[in-house]
Amino acid sequence: MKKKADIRQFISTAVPYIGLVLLIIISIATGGKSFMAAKNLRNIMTQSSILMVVAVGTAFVMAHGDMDFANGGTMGLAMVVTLALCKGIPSWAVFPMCLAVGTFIGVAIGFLVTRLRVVAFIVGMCIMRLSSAILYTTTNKKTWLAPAGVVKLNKPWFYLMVCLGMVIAGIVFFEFTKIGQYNKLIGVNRNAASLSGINVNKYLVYSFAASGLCAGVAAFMTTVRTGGLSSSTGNYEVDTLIALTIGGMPLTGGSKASIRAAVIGALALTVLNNILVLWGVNADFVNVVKGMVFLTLVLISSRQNAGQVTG
Amino acid sequence: MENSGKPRLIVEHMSKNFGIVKAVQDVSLELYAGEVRGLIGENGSGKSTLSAMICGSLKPDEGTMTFDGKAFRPKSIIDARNKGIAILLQERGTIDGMSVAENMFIGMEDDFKGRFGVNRDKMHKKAKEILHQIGADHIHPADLVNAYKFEDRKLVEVGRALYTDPEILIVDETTSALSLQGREYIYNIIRDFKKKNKSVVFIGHDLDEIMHVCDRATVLKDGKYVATISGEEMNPAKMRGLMIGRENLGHYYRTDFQPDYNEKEVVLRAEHLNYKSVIRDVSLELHKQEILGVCGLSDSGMHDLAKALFGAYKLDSGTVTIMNGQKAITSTTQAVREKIAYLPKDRDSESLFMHTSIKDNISVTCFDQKKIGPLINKRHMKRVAGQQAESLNIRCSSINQLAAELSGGNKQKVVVGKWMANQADILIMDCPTRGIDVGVKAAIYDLICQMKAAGKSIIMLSEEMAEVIGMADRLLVIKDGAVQGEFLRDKTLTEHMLVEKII
Amino acid sequence: MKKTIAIILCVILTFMAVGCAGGAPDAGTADSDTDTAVDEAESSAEEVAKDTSEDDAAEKVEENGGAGEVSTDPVKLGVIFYSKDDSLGQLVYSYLNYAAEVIDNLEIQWVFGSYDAASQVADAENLIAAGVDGIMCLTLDDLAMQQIANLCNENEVYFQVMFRMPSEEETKAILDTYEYYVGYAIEDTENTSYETVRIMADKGIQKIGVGGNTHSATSTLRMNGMEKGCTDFNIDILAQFDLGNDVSSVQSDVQNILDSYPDVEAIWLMSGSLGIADITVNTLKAHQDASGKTVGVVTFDTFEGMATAFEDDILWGAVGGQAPLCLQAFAALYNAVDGHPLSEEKVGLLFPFLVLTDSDDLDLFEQYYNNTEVQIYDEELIKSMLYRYNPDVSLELLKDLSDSYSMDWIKEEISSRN
Repeated sequence: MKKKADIRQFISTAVPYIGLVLLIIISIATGGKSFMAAKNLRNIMTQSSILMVVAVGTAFVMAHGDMDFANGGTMGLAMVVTLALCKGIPSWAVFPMCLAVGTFIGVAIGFLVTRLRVVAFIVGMCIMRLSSAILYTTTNKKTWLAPAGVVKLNKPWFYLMVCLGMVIAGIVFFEFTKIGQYNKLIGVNRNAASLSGINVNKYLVYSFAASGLCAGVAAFMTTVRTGGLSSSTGNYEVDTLIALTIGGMPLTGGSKASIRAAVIGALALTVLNNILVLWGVNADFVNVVKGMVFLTLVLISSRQNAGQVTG
Repeated sequence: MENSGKPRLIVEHMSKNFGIVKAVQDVSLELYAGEVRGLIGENGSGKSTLSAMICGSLKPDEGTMTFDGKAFRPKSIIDARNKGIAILLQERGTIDGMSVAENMFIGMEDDFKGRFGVNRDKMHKKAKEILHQIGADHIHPADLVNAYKFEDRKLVEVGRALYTDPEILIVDETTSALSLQGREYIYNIIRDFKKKNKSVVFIGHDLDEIMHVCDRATVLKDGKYVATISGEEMNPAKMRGLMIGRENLGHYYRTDFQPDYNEKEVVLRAEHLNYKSVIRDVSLELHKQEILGVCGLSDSGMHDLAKALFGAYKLDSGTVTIMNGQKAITSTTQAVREKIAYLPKDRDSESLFMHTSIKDNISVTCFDQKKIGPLINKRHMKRVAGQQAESLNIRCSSINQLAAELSGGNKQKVVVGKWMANQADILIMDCPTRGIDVGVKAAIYDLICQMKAAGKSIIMLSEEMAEVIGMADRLLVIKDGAVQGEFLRDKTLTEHMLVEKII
Repeated sequence: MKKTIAIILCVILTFMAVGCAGGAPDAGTADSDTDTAVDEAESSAEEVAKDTSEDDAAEKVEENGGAGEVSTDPVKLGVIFYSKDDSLGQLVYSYLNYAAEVIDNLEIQWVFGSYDAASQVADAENLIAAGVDGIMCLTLDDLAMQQIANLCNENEVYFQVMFRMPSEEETKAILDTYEYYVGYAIEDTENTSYETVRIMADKGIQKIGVGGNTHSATSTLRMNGMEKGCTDFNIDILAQFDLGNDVSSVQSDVQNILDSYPDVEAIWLMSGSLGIADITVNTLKAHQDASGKTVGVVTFDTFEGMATAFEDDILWGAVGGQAPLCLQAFAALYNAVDGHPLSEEKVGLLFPFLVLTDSDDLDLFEQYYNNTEVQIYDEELIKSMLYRYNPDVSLELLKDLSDSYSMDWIKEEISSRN
């Protein structure tokens, strides 16, 4: 019995890995040279990096079981504020500005959720609306270009370095500080966490701050990638959710939450997008495949959770 | 009428769960012809659930029923009624907007089929006849049932139950809502049943009434069958004792009978605590090496008191102060920092991280211990968890096993381990042995004694008076959120002395 | 076991890191493979160019004897479009697929569903990795335009913008420096907008309400044309309401205008999509029924309820029919990929809208335009725009084609085919 449980647990952790590896094997087999081309691998890395950074932040919020729908909106706002001020600041300061604004918005969300008891999901929706309204009004007359020093960074190594840095920092904060660990425990049982002496509200705020910070970094990366601010910035809410779910993040949070989910999920989603274009399949089919993959993974993850309740 | 003859209704091994709540567990009983059987127990003891299963409104998870030698599996209340078992419900069982007669014959409309649908005249005539039988001539069958007051509506239900001429009638706490006159109606009906050699199951809270009406009484507690008593034994004190529950566990408890603590050193002081209307002006002092027992009924407010002492509530007024350093406890975080531990009554939902390893459950209090710079020391946490699991003798395959897979007793040990890992000095234990089997219970008592010997102070709250009497140096009785009395440890202390204060 | 997986993952990551480090085109075997492929395509294109320019005689033979001597190297074009489910998307999808069908060496790869600049850039990257020779895109904004143009230029892939143009001088200047940027094709928005005002002026209208905003370059053009028309034709704009993200407020906005300005004679809508026109027409119909007074609508975009709206005399003008623009954009791109660009300069193509003013117009429109079964540009017309089949093709030819584009032209063109 114990063995069986161990195996089941192993399988449930391994599923995302296996999925990603399978996806890559299939991609190599079918995409062949064009998939494995150095240029294409660079593409995958660049394309997945922003999503991965956003997902790393969102993992902190999802660990305690909230849905984070604010990341795209936070990115948009971080870019607006930073670029609005960037005429007055040197280009090296754009990065810390993005970080600061993102974190500030995260903390604000945290307070709304913990003090005013607004559901995180709703706050996220509001931020999303607010951001798109501000983006519309600010970019309608003129496109805002980023300072030249920032645009210069648009090189694959930049995305790789930032992404690696954020993932490593994410793992450290998630696994080796109370921020990640407490949020996981809050996700398992908020009552018990509180009655075990965990200051639940404080750590919820931390998790939203982490998410905001990562959105700030992602905002900077997007600025580098698109060279400025456009009204369509930051459509990351759904993709992040899909990526994390594919990566094995339980929607209810808890002890199975991990940064791993962000990495695997972002890679898998990008590879999927990439190989579908390389295959040159019918565009309808692409969305069908994406939908099926997502549905399957949600089914698997909810089945796992159901198994746990009775097991 | 005693155990003579064949039982009419045999209930065997009935169980019913609502989610994780085990409402009825493995209850069996036999009901004889001409018998009036009382069914008693505290709130939540499972008597209403049991009767609901007998009358067909709930489906049992397990167990069988036999009625007059035939398997009895009612699909609904109406089905059970047609087969000869009718119930008078605790709640209001009439439907507004329908007439008295319609309410009486709900589900039986076929009996009054005329050429054009239901023949109302026939229906009203029959209703009048039945109402006359039970002496309720003032109720008119054609009126809407809403027009009548609660008591009369109950009588409509009585009429409904009697129409099918049932063999067995279940009266589920019906009388408590009725006036004296209303009760007399019911008593008359019960007497009538007895005369006709039919059976009645009478569910009630009023023990005097039970004594007066019933031949025998079956006691349930926490969903389990406790005993069936009759004759001499059916006195309120005995019944009350059985209801509240007490097992002879004398040898598990402390063997000394002297209060034994450091009277001079107060470690925790609560002053004039008020919280909503649940805790009313409670003050108490906990001394070093003291086991302070607190007992009361489940809804006495004592569980809230435990939480309040741990800083989990925002109190309306009053302070909880830790004497070592004179710090007021205002949050659970601070309480933990001050080495206070809290073991809640509801372990699964308030203390354990179920689908999480034993290791993580125990080490939740150790994140700040032996940090490596700003980072937590996972190796140390694992070591601590391992030590606790070993010293508490937690039965598990490894400390990576999920807490959800453990038995109640081992879960409690995990909770204890969590606080020991934080080197707690003050332990607030709310019903520490609830849902734990006898063997592990002894281990927990033993552990409490060890902790006391090691200089820790313990507040032990419990609904089981025997264990509080057996363990505590000093004992507080709580009722309606206020302290009703204080007793010192003494050989002569009996449950009856406490019961008088509790109820 | 976990460790094994970790190792595999590391290997994959290393692959990516290698891919990243090997920035120079000559690093790595896989890389050089794709480059060779590009080189080959390029050199063959050059060969074709050489063939045709060096040997006039051969060219004449080709002209007379059909396509026999032309290179049969496949041309693969990528198209990035927001959707293929709305009416414009459906037609563009149908027209370009038809082109791919009739042109023997053409393959088209579609990417749909990107609604932000970063995703469009990613789409372009993936298309380039898939080995396309050219990319056509309805770019969402100037930033996407710049980034994709830059990307294409670096990878020597031709890039054509369609249904959009650089909205700022800066962007235009940057794009013009890219060798592989072919140009843009866009609807003649401002003039059409001006013409819609003329419809109202012809009816003697003097007081109108306006629904619109200037959130994007296109909407700004529409508003500018309308405002110019109003000045020229002496029409007063009584009130203006925003057509923002939220369509649900349109009904109350229109109602408010009707209530506050009883003398309003018409409503002009910058956009009628997403149900805006339908809602407005319904509101005006209710007003007509209640007060007996007709307030008309002139709107951009075509919509479901046009037939009844024309019958009720509530709809006075609707604008649509721009989809064949994609074929002109395609022609410009294909010729460039083929080595025979239409012009040495960057090409800006203007394509007219169709303006529907009555039920007859609508009938023709539904029959010929709003029908994916009908190819307005048939095989002959499409081929006439490509050097490969018609070496005499020129920018003027495309311009003539677009200038003549009208409801009557379509009718004539299609009836002449049988």
